[in-house]
Amino acid sequence: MATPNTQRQYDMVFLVVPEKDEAGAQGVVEEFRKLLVDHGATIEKDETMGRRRLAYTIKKKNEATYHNFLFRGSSACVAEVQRKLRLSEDILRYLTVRIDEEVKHGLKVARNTKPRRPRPEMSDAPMAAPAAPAPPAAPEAAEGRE
Amino acid sequence: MAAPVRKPAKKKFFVRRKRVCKFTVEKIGYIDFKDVKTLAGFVPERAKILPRRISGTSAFYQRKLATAIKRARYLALLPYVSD
Repeated sequence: MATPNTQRQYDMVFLVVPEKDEAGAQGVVEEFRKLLVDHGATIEKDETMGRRRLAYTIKKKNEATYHNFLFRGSSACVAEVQRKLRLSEDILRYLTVRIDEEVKHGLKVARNTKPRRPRPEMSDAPMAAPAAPAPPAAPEAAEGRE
Repeated sequence: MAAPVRKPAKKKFFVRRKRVCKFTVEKIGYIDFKDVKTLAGFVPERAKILPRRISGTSAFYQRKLATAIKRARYLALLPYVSD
């Protein structure tokens, strides 16, 4: 069981309804920012991704203001903020993802993996010079087989 | 007869260019679901996730990419189906 004060890193994005103008949307964001801090979260990134067109219609809306919080906090904090997000009429959609482990594992894999060399480089350059008489023979052989 | 020009092209073998995984090369640890620019490159116009036999993405990153795309879809950053 996780101890109550375990701090995990979360990435949270939510969509504010298009009826809110810029100031209105900021007000909604401010509300949740305060909520996060009140529940013991430390915000690491606080970014408005702006008003964007939705890729598909949600509740007859085609636009929304996106906001992103990257924060450290407890699971209880996330649960409470998500509950508020769900109840809020101003939020179209939200998503919270715990990313600490994913990032840690990903970076480890990235460090230990080497990209494979593209093959054309190997076959083109060194083969062309020594195998100069070979090319005429090769097409004949190919024809014979067909 | 009509098109003798095409003959040599026919005989030629297909030079299959094995593509290299973009994420491995750039040593990206985490594929961000908010990064629509990157993700959109792996979602052709039918809005399907590009298979790795075409994109050349490594298996590890293809899995990460798929989750990132699915998260982005939920947030309406990417479409589920093209219209």
